[in-house]
Amino acid sequence: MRDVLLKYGNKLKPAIPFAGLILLAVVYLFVTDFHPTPFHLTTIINQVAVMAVLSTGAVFIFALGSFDISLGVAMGVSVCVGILAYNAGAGVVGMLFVCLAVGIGVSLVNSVLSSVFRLPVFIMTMAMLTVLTAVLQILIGGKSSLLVPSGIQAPIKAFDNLWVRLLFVGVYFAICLVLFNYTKIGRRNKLVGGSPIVAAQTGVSIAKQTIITFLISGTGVGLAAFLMLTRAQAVSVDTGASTGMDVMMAIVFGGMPLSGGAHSKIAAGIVGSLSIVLVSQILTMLGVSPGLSQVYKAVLFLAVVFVASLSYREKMLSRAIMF
Amino acid sequence: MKKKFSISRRIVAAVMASFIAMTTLSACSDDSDAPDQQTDKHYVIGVIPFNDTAAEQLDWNNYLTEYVAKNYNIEFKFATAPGDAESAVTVVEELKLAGAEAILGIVDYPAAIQKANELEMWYIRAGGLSTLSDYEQIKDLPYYLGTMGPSLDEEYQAGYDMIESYVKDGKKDILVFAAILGLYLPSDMHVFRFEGMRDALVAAGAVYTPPASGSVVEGPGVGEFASGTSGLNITTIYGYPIESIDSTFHDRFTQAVSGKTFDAVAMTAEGSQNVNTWLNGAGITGVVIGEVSSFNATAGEAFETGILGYVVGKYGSSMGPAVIALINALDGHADIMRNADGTGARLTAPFWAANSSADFAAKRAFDDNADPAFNKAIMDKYIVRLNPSVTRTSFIEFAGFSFDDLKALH
Repeated sequence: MRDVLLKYGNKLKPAIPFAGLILLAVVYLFVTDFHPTPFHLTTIINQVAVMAVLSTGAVFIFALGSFDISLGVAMGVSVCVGILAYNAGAGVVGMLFVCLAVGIGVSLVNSVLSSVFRLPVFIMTMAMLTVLTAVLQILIGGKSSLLVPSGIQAPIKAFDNLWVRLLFVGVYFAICLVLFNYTKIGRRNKLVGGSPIVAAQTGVSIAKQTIITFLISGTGVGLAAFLMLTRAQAVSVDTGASTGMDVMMAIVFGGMPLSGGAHSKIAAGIVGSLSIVLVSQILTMLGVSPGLSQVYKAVLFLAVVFVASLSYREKMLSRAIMF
Repeated sequence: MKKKFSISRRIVAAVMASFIAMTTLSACSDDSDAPDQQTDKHYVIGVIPFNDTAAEQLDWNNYLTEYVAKNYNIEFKFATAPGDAESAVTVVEELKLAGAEAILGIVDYPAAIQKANELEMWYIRAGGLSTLSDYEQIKDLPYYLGTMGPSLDEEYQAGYDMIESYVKDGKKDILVFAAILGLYLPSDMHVFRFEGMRDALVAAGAVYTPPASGSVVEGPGVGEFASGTSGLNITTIYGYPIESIDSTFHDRFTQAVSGKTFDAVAMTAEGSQNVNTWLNGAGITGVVIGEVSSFNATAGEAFETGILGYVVGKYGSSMGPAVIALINALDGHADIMRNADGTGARLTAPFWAANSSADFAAKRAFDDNADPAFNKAIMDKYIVRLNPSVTRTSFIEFAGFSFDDLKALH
C-alpha cells in the first residue's frame, strides 16, 4: 500500500504546486464574490513582478542545491546605484543598464568567491549579505533614504505600469525557460544539484557552472531592481533586507525540491511568487490581522516543506563535494 | 522504526491542517467586538504603523481600537509596518483591497503616498512631521491631507529642556547619548534634539568643539564638550546599539564611560532600560536617565524603578486630531486641514514632558482610554458634519493643543 501511495504520490507531486495555485485562485475569486476588478488583477501583477523575476533567476542556484541569501540586498544595492545614476542624468535606459551591471557584477563576485575559493555558496552569500548591507549604507550616506527627486520622476513613472512589468517578467522567464529546459546550462545545473561528484566525473566544471548560474541570477537581480525602482522611486538601508527569505519561500512554494537536482522546475519561481501574493491578499481581504497572517504563512510554508521533503532524502545521492 | 516516523509525520500533518482550518474559520467569522453605532456613517481607515511592536505604536493602536473605533463607528485595518518604500506601496494596495477609504500613516514613503493618491485614498502622516524633502515631493497630491506631529523646533526644544532640567536639578556629570548621530543614519529629529542639548549646555557655560567633519550629520562623532564656566563634566557617545548597523557601538560606549561617574544621561531617543543595563555592567549605578520616547507603560515602569528621570514624548490619544482630519476629508471637507493653496498641511502637535514619576503617572492617567486626553467631547467640536462652524484656523489650534489646553477642556 505504501509503495502504491508513493508511486502515485510521486507522479502527482509535480502537479501539487499548480493545483495549490488553482485552489488559491478559486479562494481568491470566492473572497472577491466572484467579481474581481481590474484593480485586483493589477495589484497581483504589481506585487508578483519583482519577486517572480528574482525567484526565477534564483531557481538556477537552487537547482545546484544551494541558495543565495544575499539576493535581496544585492537588489537593494542595484536600486541604489540605479538611482544615483538616474539622478546624475543617466536617463531611464541608462538606469536600466546600471541596474543590470550592478546585479551581474555582484553576482559575479559571489560566483568567483564561491568557485575559486571553494566556499559553500550559502555561507559565502551570508557573508556577502553583511558586506552588501554596509555598502548600501555607505552609498545612501547621510540620509535615511535616497529618492528620485519629484521634478525628474516623470520618465520613471512612465515605466511604473502593468505592461512593463508583464514584459520584463515574460521575457526573462521565457529566456530562463529555454536555458533551463533546453540547453546544457540547465541540464548541467540539475546534474550538479543531484550530485556534484557525479557531475564532476562526467566532465562538468562545477566552477564554470557556478559562474554561469550566478550570471543568470544576477541578470534577474538587475531587472528586479529596475522594476522595484520604477515602483518605489526610493531606496533605504532596509530595501531588500527580507527579500532573500521571501524568494526562498516562493521557490519552495512553487514546488522546487529542497535539494535541487533533476526535479528542479523553472516555473517554481513564478508559481511560488503568485501563490504567496494570493495567500497574502486573501488574508488581507478576509481581515486577518498582520500578526496572525504571518503565523498563517509560516504554517503554510512548513506544510509545503513537509510535503516537499517526503521521501526526498531516501533518493539523494552522496553530496560530498569533490573538486 | 520507519513506520513510527511515518505515523508521527501524519500526526504533525493533521495538527497543521487543523490549525490552518481553524485559522481560516476564525478569519471568516464575524468580529463580535463591533464598533458602537453612534453615528450613521461607517468609515474604514487603514493604519500603517512605523513598527509593529514599539510601545508607542501599541498605545496608538489601543487608542484607535479601544476608544476611537467605538465612538466614531470606524473600522481600523492595521497593516504590517513596511520595511522599505516598495513594501509601503504594497501595504497601501493591500489596505485598498481590505476596503480602506483613507490611510493614517505613521510612515512617510513618498511612493506609498503617491500610490494612495492614485487609488483616491486620503492620506495623513501623523505621529511626526515628514522631512521637508519628503514633504516637497508629495505636498501637491490632491489626496494628501498633510503631516501632523512635533515640529523640528519642538524637537530642538525637547533636547534643550532636558538639559536645562538637569542643570536646574544640580546634575554635574552628564552623559549625552546622541543616538543615530555620527553614523550614516541621522534623521532630522535626532539632529535637532542633539542641537537643543548642545545649545543648553553651551548656555550653561560649557564649550563645544564640533567633530572634525564640522557636522554631526556626516560623522563620525558628535564633537566634545569642555566644562568652561559651567562646572559640568560632559561625556558624549554617539551611534546606534544594533550590531548590524553600528558594530563598534558597545566598545565605544564602554570606553566612553570607563572610570567615570554620572549623575544623569540625556538621550536623543528611547532605550533607557538598555543604557541602564550597560552602565550597570560598567559598574555605574544610580544614574538618572532622560529620553525622548512616549508616555507608554514601559517608560512608566522605568520611572517607578528610578531609571528614568525625565521623559519627553507623544501619547496614545495624540492620534485623535489626525483621525478627525480623515473623517472630515471622507465627509468632503479636506480643506479643513489642507492649505488654502491646495497643498497638504504641516501642522504642529506638541510633546508632553515629565520630570518625576508622579508627574508621569498623572499625565498617563489623564490619557486613559476610558476617557483619553483627546476625547469625543473635544473631538466632536472639530468634525464639520457635527459642527459646521469649524474653520481651518480652529482646526490648526485643535491639532496643536498642549497638555494644559487639554486639561482645561476636560
